[in-house]
Amino acid sequence: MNEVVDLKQIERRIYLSYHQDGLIDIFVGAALFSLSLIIWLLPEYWYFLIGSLAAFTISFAGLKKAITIPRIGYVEFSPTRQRKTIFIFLGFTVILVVFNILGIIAMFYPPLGIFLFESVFTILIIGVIGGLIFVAIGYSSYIRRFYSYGIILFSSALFTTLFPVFVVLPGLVLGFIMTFYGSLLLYRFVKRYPKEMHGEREVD
Amino acid sequence: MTEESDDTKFPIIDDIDRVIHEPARLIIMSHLYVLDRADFLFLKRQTKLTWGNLSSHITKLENAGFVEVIKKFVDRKPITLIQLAPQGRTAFEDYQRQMRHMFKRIEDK
Repeated sequence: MNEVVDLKQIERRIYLSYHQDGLIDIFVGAALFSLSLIIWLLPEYWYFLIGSLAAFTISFAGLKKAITIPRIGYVEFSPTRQRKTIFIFLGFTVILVVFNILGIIAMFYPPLGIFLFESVFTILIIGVIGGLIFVAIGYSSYIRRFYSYGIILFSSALFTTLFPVFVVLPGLVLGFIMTFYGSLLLYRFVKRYPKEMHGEREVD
Repeated sequence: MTEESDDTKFPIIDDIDRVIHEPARLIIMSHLYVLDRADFLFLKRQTKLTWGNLSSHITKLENAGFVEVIKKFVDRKPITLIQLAPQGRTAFEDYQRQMRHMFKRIEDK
């Protein structure tokens, strides 16, 4: 039976179809990119970090409702799958919150900030941990492109460690790539799935 | 071997649920089995059935008591959701078991 109808494969395809819109990539990428920019260029406006994190979360939920659901429909996943989705968001939240905290620490306690951002190994550690979180998210969510993001984050952190240009380079590089690729996915998604009226039938 | 014993070779085939066995309905049931619930558009996209086909198969499954059609408000908009009824879940699991058993018997022969 499982050879004929592979339930795991169906579940995987369903879940992936819900994330083929690229919104998660755009959301996380844009958040990483803007946070990196703020830390780099405008550290005195640290409160933008928290504001932008909240704004991105709200806009992600709104865009999902405005773009994805009218095109591929509404679905409620099983409790197991919902737990995995929560894990994904927790993973990204950890990455973004750590980034926030480091930025705020650097702002309020310059010696610690200097230690954190001028120590060559801090960026490498962030790259390794962040990269592993991306890989774990990719593994549990079936969204394999997160593997690539993990490798990019680690590679750019390694590059920054070896050639210290400026510390926020990994965030800028990964943020830009994720936003760009997510935008391509979104374009393809919108072309592939035009908005469709719900063909609701009469129910007795 | 007698004709009578030939008839009893695959008694399990007679037990297979014909409502689920139809390919389109099998696909719908498989999707609903791994989901909690979904609306018509989502099922249409996933199964690649037309609105008419999907609607008629859902009606047959609903009449058999395998799926439940429920109305719900999501963000103040009414949507129609389809979910597997407990009876449908049991029937689908029985169907899986029977098919697996049948294929095993065919392989053994």
